[in-house]
Amino acid sequence: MVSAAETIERVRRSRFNWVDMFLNALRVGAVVFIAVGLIGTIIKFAGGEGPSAAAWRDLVVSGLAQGAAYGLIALGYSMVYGVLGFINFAHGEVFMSGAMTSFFMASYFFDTGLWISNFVVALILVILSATVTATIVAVLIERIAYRPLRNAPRLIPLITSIGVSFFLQYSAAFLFGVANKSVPQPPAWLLAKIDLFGLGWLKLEATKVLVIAIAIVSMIALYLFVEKTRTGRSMRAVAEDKEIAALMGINVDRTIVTTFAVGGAMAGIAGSLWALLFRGVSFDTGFLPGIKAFTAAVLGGIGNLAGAMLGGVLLGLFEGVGPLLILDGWGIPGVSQLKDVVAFFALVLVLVFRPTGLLGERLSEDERA
Amino acid sequence: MTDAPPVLEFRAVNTHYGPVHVLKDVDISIGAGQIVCLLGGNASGKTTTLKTILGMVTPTTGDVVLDGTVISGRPTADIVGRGISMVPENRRLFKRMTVRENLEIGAYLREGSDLEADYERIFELFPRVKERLNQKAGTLSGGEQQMVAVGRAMMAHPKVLLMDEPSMGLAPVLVAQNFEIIQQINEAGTTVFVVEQNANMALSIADHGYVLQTGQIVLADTAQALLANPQMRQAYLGEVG
Repeated sequence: MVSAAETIERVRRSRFNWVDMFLNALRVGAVVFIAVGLIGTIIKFAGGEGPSAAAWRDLVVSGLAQGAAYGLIALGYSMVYGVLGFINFAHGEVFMSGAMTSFFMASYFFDTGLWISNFVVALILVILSATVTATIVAVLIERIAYRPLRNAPRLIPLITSIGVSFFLQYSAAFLFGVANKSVPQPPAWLLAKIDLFGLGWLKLEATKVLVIAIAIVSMIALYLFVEKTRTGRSMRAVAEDKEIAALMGINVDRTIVTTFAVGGAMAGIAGSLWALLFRGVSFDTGFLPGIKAFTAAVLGGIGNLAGAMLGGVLLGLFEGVGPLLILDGWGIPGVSQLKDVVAFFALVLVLVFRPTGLLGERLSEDERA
Repeated sequence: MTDAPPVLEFRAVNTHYGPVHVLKDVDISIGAGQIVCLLGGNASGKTTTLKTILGMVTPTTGDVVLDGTVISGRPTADIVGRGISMVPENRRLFKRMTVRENLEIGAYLREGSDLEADYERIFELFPRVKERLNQKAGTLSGGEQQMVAVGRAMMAHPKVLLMDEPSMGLAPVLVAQNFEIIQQINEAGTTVFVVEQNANMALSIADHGYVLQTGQIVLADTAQALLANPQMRQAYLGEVG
């Protein structure tokens, strides 16, 4: 007779495999690597070496501002994944169309003088036009490229999206040239540092504060739209079960268009913020932020809107602070150039520790449809 | 063959999936205020019949008529708006939404109207639903989910309620309870069309029954007559002849 305990032990041992071994080694290695780097940095900081506290504060704010933009873009990836189950790789170019529009509008307002005389009005108009353009681009992509593939296997629209991405990128290069375009400087008061809440130590660059504020407002608006309105409810219903949603009288195609439109609007706002933050736009502006935002969406748990926002902010923060915080402690030179490495390393880490992303839930095969 | 005036009718409906002839000259008449059941085994065409009513499948020939208007060929949302709701097989609630949101979606096409009276009616039928109103539908038990699924369908104020395999995947106690619910809804004035494999159960509450076999109606009669029909007893009611 074999006792139950023995059987369990045998089964447990038979489940041993090299993949688990490798993943565990990776987990331990990552934790050790980060811990050693952190300790190194802390020792340096205590010894008065490395960046000052003020420099750390600025890095955090820069990271948050960039992360807010990532989060806004990531929402589009996550929402489209939610309703159609594929990654719309052309979404980075939707973002680029918003940034490009922002450049043209900002330049126009700079020429007419509004940019300086009444910056707030100019900025509102810039953001509105970028939002409208990006929304139109997103809806057109859905209509022309994805709707005919509605019943095709999901790999097909995925590949199509990569094609659409290239098409839009090089169309922009053809239409507007390949040179980097400089967005006019905002007025001096926006470039200065402001003393937030009058605390004295919280002196932050006004541009970044503005970017973060606009992003937060947009995210709250989107959240309320999805959670509280009838259209938002129908979007969630379509994301969960298209067939039953149709049975309730919901127009599934129209809901999918709305999803693309809302995702596009968020990317458009992100485009404006990006133009404001980095003051440079080119035809390939959408590529890296697009990939980063996709990373952020996966990091937060794809299909989950709160996860996309959280993932974006965390990724931006990690990118801003991570190189100095961890790599510098190892004595690696030129760490700020390694921020992309750090960003994707963060993705690998999250997937190793939590394969569904930070807020993601495990989906069954038919729920993924 | 029905005494009541028909609400929903199949008039010589034929459907094809490509070269496959699924429904063959199907005639069904569902009288106002009745419970009519459609019985049949796997692959007999039951699901196709429902899909045809809901406009997910368009008949090759023949018409589906609701209240004297031909509805076949119209989009699903339009047909639902005209007064047909379905309680799908396995309930299929929106599991990540709350019970309240599920009910609200049921009333999707009645946006703007006051839903309080509808909620009250559903709570009267299923007091349990009231307790679970703000809970995620996925956390409910199978029986509770069935109540919400019925409630969700009732929110649209259907003229005809379609029930796809209401006994599927439920414990026998719940199945009996379920059929009681169907009767209650029917007594409150809704016409019900039940598609079932559980012939005994369905016929015990139905006014009329149809038996579908490989896409053809092979038997059509009142429920009592079908229960007494020797051919029926042997093939569907589990009696050894």
